[in-house]
Amino acid sequence: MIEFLAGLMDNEGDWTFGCNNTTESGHIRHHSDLTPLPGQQRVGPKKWGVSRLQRIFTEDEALLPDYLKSDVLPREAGGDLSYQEVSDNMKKQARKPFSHTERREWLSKHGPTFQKMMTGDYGEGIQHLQFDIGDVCEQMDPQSRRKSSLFRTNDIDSGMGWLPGLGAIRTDVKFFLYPISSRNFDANIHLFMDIDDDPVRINEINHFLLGEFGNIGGRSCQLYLFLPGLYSPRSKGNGVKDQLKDAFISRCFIPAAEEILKGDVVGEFLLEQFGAGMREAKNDSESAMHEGQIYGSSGSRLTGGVGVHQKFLARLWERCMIKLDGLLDNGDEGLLPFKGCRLFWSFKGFKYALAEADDEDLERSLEAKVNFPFFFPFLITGLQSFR
Amino acid sequence: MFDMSQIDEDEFHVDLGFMYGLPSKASDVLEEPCVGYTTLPRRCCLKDLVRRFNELIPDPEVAAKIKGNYYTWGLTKDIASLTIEFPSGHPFREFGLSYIQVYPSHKNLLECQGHYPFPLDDDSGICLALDSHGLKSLYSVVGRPVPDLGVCRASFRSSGARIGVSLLSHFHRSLHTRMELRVTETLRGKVRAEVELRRQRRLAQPVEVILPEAGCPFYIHKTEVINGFMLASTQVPARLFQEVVSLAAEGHLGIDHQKFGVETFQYLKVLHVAVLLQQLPYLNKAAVPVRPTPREIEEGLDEPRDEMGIGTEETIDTYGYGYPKHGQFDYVELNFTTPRIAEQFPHPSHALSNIKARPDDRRRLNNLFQEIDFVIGRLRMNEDRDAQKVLLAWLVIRLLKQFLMDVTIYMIEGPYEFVNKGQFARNIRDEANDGDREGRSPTPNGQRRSPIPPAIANNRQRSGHRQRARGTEEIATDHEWQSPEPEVQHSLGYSKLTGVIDRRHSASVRTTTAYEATA
Repeated sequence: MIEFLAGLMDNEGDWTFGCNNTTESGHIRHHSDLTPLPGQQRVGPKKWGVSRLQRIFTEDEALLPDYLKSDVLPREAGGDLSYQEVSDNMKKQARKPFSHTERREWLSKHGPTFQKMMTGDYGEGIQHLQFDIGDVCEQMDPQSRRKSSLFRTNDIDSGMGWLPGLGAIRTDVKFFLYPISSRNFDANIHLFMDIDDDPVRINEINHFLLGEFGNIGGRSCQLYLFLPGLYSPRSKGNGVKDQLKDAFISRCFIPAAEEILKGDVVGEFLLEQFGAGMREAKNDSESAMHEGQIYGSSGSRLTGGVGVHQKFLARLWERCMIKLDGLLDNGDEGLLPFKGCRLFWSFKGFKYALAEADDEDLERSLEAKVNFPFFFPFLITGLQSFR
Repeated sequence: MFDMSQIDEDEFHVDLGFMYGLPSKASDVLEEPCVGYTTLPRRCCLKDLVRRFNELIPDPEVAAKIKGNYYTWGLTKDIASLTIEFPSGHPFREFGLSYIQVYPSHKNLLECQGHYPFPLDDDSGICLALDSHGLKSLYSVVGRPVPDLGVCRASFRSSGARIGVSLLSHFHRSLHTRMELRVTETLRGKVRAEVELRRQRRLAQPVEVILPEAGCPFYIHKTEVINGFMLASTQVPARLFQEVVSLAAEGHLGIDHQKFGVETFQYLKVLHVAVLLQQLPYLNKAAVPVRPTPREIEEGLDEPRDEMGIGTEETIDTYGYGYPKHGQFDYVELNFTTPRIAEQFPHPSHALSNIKARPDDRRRLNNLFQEIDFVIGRLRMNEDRDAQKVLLAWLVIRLLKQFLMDVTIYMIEGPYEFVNKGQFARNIRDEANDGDREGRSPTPNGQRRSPIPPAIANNRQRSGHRQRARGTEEIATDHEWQSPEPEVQHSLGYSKLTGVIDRRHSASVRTTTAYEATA
């Protein structure tokens, strides 16, 4: 397994998968089939495309969809207009009825053309599409077809995993006192968790966005709190009710923060921020009916975000969990779903973030960008003004 | 950013990505833009990759074979994307490998913040093709506002422009094939160590001679060629769709043209992307088996039947490209080749993907529309007066049946009270039970007959629950309890009947008020 994956990821080696790639020769061999087919004509993508394009890109543009006519195309796409003009024209055109051909003209002239294009039959047999016809690979020297020649970059564009506690994070974290469910995972992330000995897809387990941290290429990592205790295969959705989140934040997290932050200069400032974060939500002129639910111009903004310095994180989470256990031991049923809760981080970068030309460069890039401790600039500014 | 000494590396997953392709190069012609190359994965080689993974499974008896999902790219036979999700408990997942995907990054030309043009749940073209009464009725059933057709047109143009402009303006860029593996940090470390060993071994070995016929698992074409292919593939059906929906005033297409327009739009939506065709049966298959509805089962019509689809699976296999199956569509007449074929295509509303609520009510409405459309189509074609009389009589009986059913449901299951309501309900139930005792056979699935089909009754109960949860009073404008809009295009009689229903509705409100006053 390791050997196979190493073969797959070793970009200085050669292809380790592909047709007829036997272990003896180690090479891929494709045989282009060009034997005539009855009633068909073998064509490559070039001829296939040109035979249609030359029929719809006529001089009067009568057969183009409305949005491809030169009066709405930018210069870059062969039109006459600047992007500003394109945008204005498209807005004007947007709600107008579609242009179409006169029925008689369609029946006599354009209909038969479309019949040919849609069936691929221009009178020389139905076009049989083959991508090996005109394949540039065939014209290249064998050396250029090797993996080492075709390999361009490698990258890490996303990551995720479980955290034992906040102490495993080496940067400051911004916590959301009023988390909302719209930031939850809405698609399969291909990871499982065992609940009552049954594997459950992680994205189906109830969770909420607790905070965010770090900065990789301008994007932050998301910090989620997962509640396996709340999961039921019969319930719909993966959200957590506002009163539950509020119970956890107000009865465990904030009291823990008060205990840990008190008596420290930075901590006192942060406590002030906690208060400000909570006031921010409550003072909203179009105030929400439920906590975490934001109306009006603020949209889906997460209010009450408070940055906590990295040095407090380990103790803060430890204290928070002790408080949770204490309340559970005292029979606080409102917090029962938080029993066995787990922290999960996830990072989704821009397309192909951290792309590098080889493994060594990627490692260096990871060291520099991912393992570099990041401090919130506002925290430093805030501290200066505090002093 | 992380203190890795505290983190279990088996629970730390990263997506490793690899890009393969040719870089763009300067043109031979002076002042011409660069020449870009697009690299596309060969379906045959992706199958080989899956086969190799399966060969690695230590004990095939214990671990299930991996199948891999092949996404058909641009309805072509040769090119595909691949995803492999290793099931929970699979030995490879235990090793730390959870997911693999290989795909052409050509799609990035069309991407914007994770959104692509003509997404599969885009209903804009379907709303433009459907007749306005049908559209209103369908949205009324689920209690949602009818889509604005101006917005639908704008959406169609916007999606089309995003494809067209991108393809026409980005032919000088190289677009590579991407392979992505989701692995744990533990596995990444092990593989890196093995790769390093291989490098060292390679350094010690003499330079390998490459055979002239040695290939690679990709097709490589100039980006201009691929963009041209995709432009030709997408813009012809796009224009065709414009022509079909313009055959009549908006919302007034005949049923066959509606079906033709909807099928063209569904076809258009998959031409620029890689899709799992198996999940789109009406696009993939030429004959789609349809399970009988609960009502059909109750009425004894439990024979499975087939509906027709575009049938691209067959043409992809035969012609290397997914043309709509030959002989079904007449692109000169902009219609199906025969009325018989048109009838066998599903009602155009089947394609609406954004309406999910109240499936039983929607099915009931669709069935009604389908039956009425079918009979009206026959009425238009048949010139025999006697046959017309029979069809008209059938139409009247069908509408009366629907009317009686709707009124019965409305009166018995609705929230309004009237004198002896309970007694009426009991009488209807008793009559139905007597009917059963007198020899009417029970339904095939063992359910007892009731004056209200069970599916509808269940649906009504659910609606009631929702209404209570909402805590609203029922008012005359509440969509949930409104009858379908009059089908002006189909039958004047039906609109009269709905008028009667509306008047009955007002009457029942008056009855309730009078009853409450008496009480």
